[in-house]
Amino acid sequence: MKVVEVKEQVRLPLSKCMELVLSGLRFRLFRAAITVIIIALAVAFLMTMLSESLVTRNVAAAIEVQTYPRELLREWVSRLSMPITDARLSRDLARIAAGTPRWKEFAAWGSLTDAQLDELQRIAAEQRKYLAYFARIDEGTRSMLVGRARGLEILPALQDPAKFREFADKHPHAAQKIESVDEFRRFLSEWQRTVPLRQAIQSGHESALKALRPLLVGAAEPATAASRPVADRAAADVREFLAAMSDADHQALLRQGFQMSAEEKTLLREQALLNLHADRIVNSLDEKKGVVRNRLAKELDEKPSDVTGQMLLDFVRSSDGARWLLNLTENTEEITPLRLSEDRIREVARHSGEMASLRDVEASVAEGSSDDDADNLLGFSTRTLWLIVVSFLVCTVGIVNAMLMSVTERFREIATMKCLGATDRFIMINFILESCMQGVAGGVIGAALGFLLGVLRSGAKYGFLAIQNLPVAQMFTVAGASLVAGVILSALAAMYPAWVAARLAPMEAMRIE
Amino acid sequence: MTETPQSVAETAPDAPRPGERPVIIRTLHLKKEYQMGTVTTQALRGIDVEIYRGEFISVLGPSGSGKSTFFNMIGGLDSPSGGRVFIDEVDVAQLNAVELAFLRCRKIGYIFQTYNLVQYMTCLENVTVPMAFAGVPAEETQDRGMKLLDLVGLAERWFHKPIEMSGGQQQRTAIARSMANNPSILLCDEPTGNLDLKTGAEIHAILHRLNKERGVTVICATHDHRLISLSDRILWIRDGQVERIANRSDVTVETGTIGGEENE
Repeated sequence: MKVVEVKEQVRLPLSKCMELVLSGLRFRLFRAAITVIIIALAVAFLMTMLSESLVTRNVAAAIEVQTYPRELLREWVSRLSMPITDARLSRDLARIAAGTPRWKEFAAWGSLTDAQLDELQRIAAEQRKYLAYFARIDEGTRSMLVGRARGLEILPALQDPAKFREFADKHPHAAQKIESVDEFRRFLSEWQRTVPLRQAIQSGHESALKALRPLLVGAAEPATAASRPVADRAAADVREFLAAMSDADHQALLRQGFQMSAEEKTLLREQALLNLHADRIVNSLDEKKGVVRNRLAKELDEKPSDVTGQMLLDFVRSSDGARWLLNLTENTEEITPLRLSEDRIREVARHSGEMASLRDVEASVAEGSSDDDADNLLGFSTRTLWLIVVSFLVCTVGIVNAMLMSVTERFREIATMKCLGATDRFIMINFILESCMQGVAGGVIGAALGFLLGVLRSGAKYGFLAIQNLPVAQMFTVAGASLVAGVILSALAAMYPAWVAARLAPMEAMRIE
Repeated sequence: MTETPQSVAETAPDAPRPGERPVIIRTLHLKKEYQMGTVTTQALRGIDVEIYRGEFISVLGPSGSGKSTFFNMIGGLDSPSGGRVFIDEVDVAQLNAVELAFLRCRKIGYIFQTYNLVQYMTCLENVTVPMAFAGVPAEETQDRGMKLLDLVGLAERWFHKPIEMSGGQQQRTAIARSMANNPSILLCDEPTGNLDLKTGAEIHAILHRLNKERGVTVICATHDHRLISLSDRILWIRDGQVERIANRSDVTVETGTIGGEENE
């Protein structure tokens, strides 16, 4: 009698499994297509979110570059037209670093040493932290702790020992607490001690402005100045001064402690001139009973009251429009001539048009990244992350369901395979492989779809800027990541159905329905 | 674990005595219970059967008799609750899942009433599946598959999908598939149950030929008297027990009665 040997069953190579799965998938094309669509949707959603956030980040960076001259002008106009407020000083102090222009300015105005500025800087940073705490706690608790004081008023209010004792007594009952009351007490006394230093900076700045007054005041054209509210007149004066700034003016600024580099000076002059000329064009609208406004309304087929400055600027972007305005202003009695060339009018109009479109985009960029603290993983807000997770969960359930159906409807086939010598491992690999292939197909379709959607959506939001600043290389990386996510998801989702299939008893093959 | 040779002496308590026919399947007090909710059903109540190498045996029994359970046990598809099953002197209960797969792949060929061909594969691909499972190189499987199809008279239809074939052709393909790894046992569960008389006869002829020419042990669960009349022995199972075993020559006179009983 021969000795019977039973060995372990042969392990099939992956290529054979692949071949079997592929022919199976071709047979059940409709089911497979639906699963692929489910995966594609989830991947597309992820990809859209990723690419949009990428584009938004790039657009934001591009906007910052493009709007730099405008922001610079705004900054200098406020610095030269009004005293430094406490809030502003605190903000600037918290941000300065040794050797920067602002540091030098503060040192000059307040006659401060580097050590003193260092201390001010540290205190300003601490102040920000504590004020953020007071801003965070609810209204009721805040009233209980510091009475009616809000924001910066809180710090002087708590200098009173009685008030502080009251605060320290009640503070433990607040829901959110300061790390250490003793630390806060130390901060308060340091803050109080450095008040004179901060005042020195502010008064130094004021006397610098006073010394510059002959240069600044009255620089604006009477016509321009007269049309503006009194509060804006100083700003208009400063803008006029900056637009016409000579080397001597620049030297005078430097002598008063203002730190303005040569490049900044050039940029500021250009920007201020652009602003002034734009103002001059817009102001022509309402001169002498609004002749220009009425004529433009007729051209544009609008009501005169609906015509805005931006409409006029848009209108004069074409050479015909610019010539039209020039003719009108020069040939109408009593209208101040623009004293601008046709090309200059068009340039100013083009620039202000660009800035206007940037303003819209800026608003949507700010909207896209509104919550400061939620700007965490991959630049997604918590809400977006949550949406992505939910979409993937839904997708997982979809795949599990589809695969379970696939297992149930193939009970007989699986059982027969087991009768023919298939191992549990083979069955399991078969199903996971099937799901992975669907994952690859769905991932590729989804990534392409998501890419397209993301570009279209950000194109709609940011316009031409989005297309100009398309981070193509990064987008491909992100597409690859989405694809991998899709495949991993499908493989994970197939685990349970594959396990069910692998455990199926081979005798199911005998069953007759 | 990869190699667990089991010798006759180790596993089979009573090796065949000289002069007796070699036994290929032996069951000892085979029992099977199914738990259905709180009720325990006894499908097999102790079956002792010896099936000889190279014989053609038919298994008869009304539905619910335990016939299918008995089939699953001797086919290595299910494990007994009590007693033992030896297939080719190997105790099936001793095998792990992977070794059982090995056994099913090479020792036993299965033929089902519903053919159970894989729908998305061609005739030839269906036949070569078990060979792939046995690790036969791809080129060799094609040749062997074609030879087997030739044996069942389907060589010209090797590229057809099951859906393009008649029931008889599908069952012939299934027989070719069951013979893929030269098994010593063919386990047929109502092989002609879904076929008309003429195509059934073709299947009978093929099974008979395999039994006689190749010495394959054929075990058939069937109600088809013509198939029963081809067998060497007949085994009746009723209420989970062996009611009767008889040589076909002893029951020829009774075939009419069997038919009468079955057709009630």
